[in-house]
Amino acid sequence: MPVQDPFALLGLPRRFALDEDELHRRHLELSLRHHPDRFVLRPEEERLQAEDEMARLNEAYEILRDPVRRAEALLALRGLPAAEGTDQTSDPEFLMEMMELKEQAAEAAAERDRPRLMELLCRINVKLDEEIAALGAAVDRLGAEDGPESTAAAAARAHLTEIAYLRSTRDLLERALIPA
Amino acid sequence: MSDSLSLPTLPVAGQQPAGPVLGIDLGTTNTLVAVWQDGAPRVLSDPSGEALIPSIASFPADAPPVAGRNALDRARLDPERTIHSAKRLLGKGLADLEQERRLLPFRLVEAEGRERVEIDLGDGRRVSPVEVSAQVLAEARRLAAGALGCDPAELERAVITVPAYFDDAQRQATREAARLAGLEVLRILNEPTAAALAYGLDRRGAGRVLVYDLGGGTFDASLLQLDEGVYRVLATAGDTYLGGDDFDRALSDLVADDLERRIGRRPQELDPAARTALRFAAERCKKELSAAEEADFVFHDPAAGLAFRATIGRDRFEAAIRPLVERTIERCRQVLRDAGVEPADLDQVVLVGGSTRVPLVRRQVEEAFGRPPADAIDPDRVVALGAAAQAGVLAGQSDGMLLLDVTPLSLGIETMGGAVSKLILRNTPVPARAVEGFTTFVDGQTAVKLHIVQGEREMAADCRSLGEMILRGIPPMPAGLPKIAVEFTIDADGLLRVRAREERSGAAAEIELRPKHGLTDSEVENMLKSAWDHAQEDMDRRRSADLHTQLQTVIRSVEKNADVVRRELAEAARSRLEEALEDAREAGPEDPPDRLKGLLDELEEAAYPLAEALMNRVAAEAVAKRRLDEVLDNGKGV
Repeated sequence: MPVQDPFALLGLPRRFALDEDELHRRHLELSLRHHPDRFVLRPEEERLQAEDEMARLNEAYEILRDPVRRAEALLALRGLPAAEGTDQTSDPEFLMEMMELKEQAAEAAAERDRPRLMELLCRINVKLDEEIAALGAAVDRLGAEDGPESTAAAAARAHLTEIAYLRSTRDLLERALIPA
Repeated sequence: MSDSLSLPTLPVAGQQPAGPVLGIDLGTTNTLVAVWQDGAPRVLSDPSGEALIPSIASFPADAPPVAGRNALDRARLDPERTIHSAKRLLGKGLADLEQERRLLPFRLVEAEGRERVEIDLGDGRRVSPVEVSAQVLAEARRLAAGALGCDPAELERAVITVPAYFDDAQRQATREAARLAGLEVLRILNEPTAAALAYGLDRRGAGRVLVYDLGGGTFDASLLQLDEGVYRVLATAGDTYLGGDDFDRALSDLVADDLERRIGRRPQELDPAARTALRFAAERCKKELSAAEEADFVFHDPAAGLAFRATIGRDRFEAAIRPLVERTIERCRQVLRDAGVEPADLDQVVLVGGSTRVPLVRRQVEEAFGRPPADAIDPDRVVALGAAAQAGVLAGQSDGMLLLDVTPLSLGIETMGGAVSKLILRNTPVPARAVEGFTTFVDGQTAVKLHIVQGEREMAADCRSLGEMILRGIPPMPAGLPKIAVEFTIDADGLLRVRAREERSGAAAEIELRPKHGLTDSEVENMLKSAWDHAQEDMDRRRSADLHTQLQTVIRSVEKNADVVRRELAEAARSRLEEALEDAREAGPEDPPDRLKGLLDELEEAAYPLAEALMNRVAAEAVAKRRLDEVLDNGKGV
């Protein structure tokens, strides 16, 4: 089960910047050709092959649609490791801010304070957008000869870690917004 | 019917069946069947023009099971063996059903050796929700054969709809039910997607459609992008424990205090037959409240001598169900958030499911999304119509249309410390695939256990467990060195398969997941062998006999109180009752079921004033007795 190149599968240039309409259009074109619904009355072998091809196309589509997974795929295609959770802690200032945010989120969730939860969610989303833009810049800055220790690669990993923190806090907030 | 005693047949691989593909909406309360015919979907009806098949199956002690309308009549007569709402139990274990358990008139037990619930029929027999659903599906197949004028054996393939929010175990269980009913499932289709398909048929435009689907027992919200015959689901969310049943329950709760005062028992203390009658009463009242500002809650069980009437205003009903409706609106908001779509970007909001007839639901939806919802297609039929449209596509009868659906729940693996590593996130298009690498934790470890879970929570214990698999035969290596690749695939029906392989050793072990809620092949074969299918005349006879028994019970209870009838009933009420009694006495067990049902309905209706009079007497006696006690008490004190 080797890593596939999602950019190649969908016929898109290998870079972070993405034309989303083009991605949807490509995915749709390929779906019309490969979706298993088109093969229901065909022999089992063809059916299973269609399932498999469509699943791979969907996997590539999902990877490209998510900026984080797109960045990770770009790193992987260059043979660079992506962030591994906790071992690449970023600057302590960011960590402090995150812990504070998470605490406030837990508090607001416990008190079912909806306006507060919404406000925190907005703040997180703004920060997420900033981080993702910075991640994209770092990944597209990567040169062909950049190794894992290069500044651009280190910056990309740091942003990935920070995004993981932000997303887990966002998930917590979103769950808290759903009434039991 | 000569074919009716044969076993259901499974299609043989490679042999192309000729009959049409059925589109079946297997609902919590009702089931519908439709086909694609002459370029359009058509809902099929029985000879009396009725399309709704009650999703009920009854398992009499001394006769073959019956399903649908025939079983509905048995609900009050034989409540412990007449199973409704089986959809709520599909793919569930007893532990999942703590809430439901207290509210159902039948007894739930855990199946042996499997985390799966069964119903104890009270006579040494047990049936599974899968078997109940299979009976309902078989009934749908029979109805379709009758409507199409063909042999049921010719109808072997179906598209069956499920709530979008159904998890893997629930989908597997639905598939098993179809297999037991002799149907090959070409596709498990999500209900809101089916509804969008039906709405899109005559409107080839582009746009974003939010489907709000509130059925008898489940709620789904799905957001779709329609684009020249391509239906792309952007996001979906739901609640498999929220539906019209819960509205009925809220209504029963409203009268609980009143009921206790007048009858001396709370709803949950009533016997199974009375609880069934109460459930029907709540449902009737709810339906009336959809059209009127107030309605009577009439609970009437002549056999047990119970009568109760209360007037409920729509405002009280709405206050009681408002939290439930708010929960559905919040799910819709979550769907929009997941897809990154603002309410203003929606082109249409579509209402699906019988429970969307409740005016509060419409108002709340309109308020939340700033536009009146679309309801051009009958909300009871729209899912079946969409299923038939998809059946037409799969059978190659209609073209130029494609559904791109998503998986509703995230899937992952439990890692050290009980956290979940998610491989496939919710709202990923299906078929889906994901691969993730894992490794060993201790030196020389030759096996790893993979615990597969489904859900959005961070800890495995809070998610739904789908099963465990063990990967063996890893050559001894230092911890962290083995490269274990775990591959998840979800097929177009939303069903999961998991494979794991140690890549460094070359000697790869590969395993497929067997869901622990599912049946093994031999179990399915055994169930198929002991299958049913029987003649229409048999069922009619059975139904007539049941109705006749019920009729006799009511006749006896009226006769027993002949003096009350004479003394206390008004002239009009008395003559109506006597006439109904006269007609009922003339009926025999061989009369057609419809006639007996008519006689029973009339007699029950006519006996209501009598039941009321009897209740008043009981109350009056209680008061008189208390007064006497008070006098005696006072006497003692002097």
